[in-house]
Amino acid sequence: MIEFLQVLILGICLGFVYALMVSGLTLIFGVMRIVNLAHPILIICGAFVSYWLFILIGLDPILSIPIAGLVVAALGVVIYKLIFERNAAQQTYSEMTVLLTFGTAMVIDGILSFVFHNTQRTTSPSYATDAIFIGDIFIPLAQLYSGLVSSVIIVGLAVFLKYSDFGIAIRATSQNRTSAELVGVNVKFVCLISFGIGCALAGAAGALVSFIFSFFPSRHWEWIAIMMSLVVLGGMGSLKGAVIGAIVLSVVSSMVGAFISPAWSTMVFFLSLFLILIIRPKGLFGIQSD
Amino acid sequence: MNSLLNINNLTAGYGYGPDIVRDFSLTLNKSEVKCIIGPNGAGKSTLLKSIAGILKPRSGEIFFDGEKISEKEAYQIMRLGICFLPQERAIFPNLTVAENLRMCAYSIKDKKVAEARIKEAIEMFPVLGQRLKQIAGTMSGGQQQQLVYARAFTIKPKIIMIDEPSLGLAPSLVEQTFNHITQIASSGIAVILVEQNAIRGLETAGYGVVMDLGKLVFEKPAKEVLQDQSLRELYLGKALEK
Repeated sequence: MIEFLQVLILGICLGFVYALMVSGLTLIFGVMRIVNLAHPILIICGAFVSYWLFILIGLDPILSIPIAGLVVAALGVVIYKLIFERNAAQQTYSEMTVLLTFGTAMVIDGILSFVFHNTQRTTSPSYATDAIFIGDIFIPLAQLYSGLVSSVIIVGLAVFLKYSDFGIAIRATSQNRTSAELVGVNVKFVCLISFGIGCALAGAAGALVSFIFSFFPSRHWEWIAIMMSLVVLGGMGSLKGAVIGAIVLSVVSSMVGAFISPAWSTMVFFLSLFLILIIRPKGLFGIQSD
Repeated sequence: MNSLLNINNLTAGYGYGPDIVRDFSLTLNKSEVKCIIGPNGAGKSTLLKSIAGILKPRSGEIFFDGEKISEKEAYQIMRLGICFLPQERAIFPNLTVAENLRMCAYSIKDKKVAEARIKEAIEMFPVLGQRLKQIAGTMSGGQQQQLVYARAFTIKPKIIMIDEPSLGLAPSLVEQTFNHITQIASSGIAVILVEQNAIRGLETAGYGVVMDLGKLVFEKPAKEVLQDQSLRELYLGKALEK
């Protein structure tokens, strides 16, 4: 029972981090129909920003979240302006973005690998190796903090989307671009900002990832499939779905890892992707495609 | 050039396709109601889309209040005071009614004004007030229609363009819809109406504009169009058979 609770709590903490990792991906897909395969490499970029801030000036990775977010958002806005905006009117936009973002991911991966080499890195703040005990349950602080911070950011994002005028405009745009334009929403601007927010979320996730996982530039390939399976389970474009998908799959994969074999835990993501695509292709909370 | 809207020699079409609207000119004065009629494929909807800025004109110019709008973005044109209600129900089905109303007032910078306008719209359509938290897409057709027209009273545009308001509506709703349009027109907003139910449209309008193959055929006071036997046979024939 103790072991079960232990795995459950760790799975939930990790689930929130996964949820943060995919929140930007699902937001960008929801608003712009961009399948952003470059999202995981942007997370790595965020991880590098936090890593170097920690190494060079000793800044705690949790405190460097805003900086990592801003840097990656700026990078994202440049990418958006360069390759996405001018193609937005194309009929096969969504399909095109798969190739465009795949290419972008390769380019950024190449640059990062060239500059930093593919060595395993991890940021090591003091709490990274610490843990607390609640009764007999052992909780590593790194996981606990990253889970808490992720959940705060996700709640912040949800509140912003739900209650602010701009947030409602983002949701309106994701439902119907033309209708949004017709009530006076500058759709191009909303897309640019949403892309920026999505990338900022990737950067923020990167800061957390930098101390709970070890990372290297090419690791994003491994994350793409996992992240896609989370988003597809929840339904592309749905934040609520992505969060639920992330937590459920994270807990299940932790359970499988703990009670069956760690070798099978990654399998959970691919198996669920496979099953969801067969049984309910639009996911649990998916938006109907138009 | 003193009229509210001037369309000069407008030509428009989609993608690499042929011209749908050809060399079309029209003026609209303050508080005027004009109904555009014509057979399917005459270019009526395309005309409205070009004015609204959803479709960029291929040539020709459109002036609103003396300002050239034919090169502006749709949201800018809307903010100047031209509201377009397209054929597809122009609401956000997955947002709540309250959120939809907030989106209607999105272009109003002053928050207090926006809130007051939303309140006005709710007073006008009390049903919406009772359903603020409901997801708009789950309301009945008639209620969704009220949400669409609430926009006119929230934004208070100078011109409102309505594309096929009665399309696909039950007869009782058609009546309700035309009541909304009359209400809008009597509040001093100029209206451009495209309507397949030509007789009903012309009864609401001051002027009838007949369009065919993308061109303006003629423009006359709506009463004359309705009374002229030969015109009725030519352009309102189908409606008469009913």
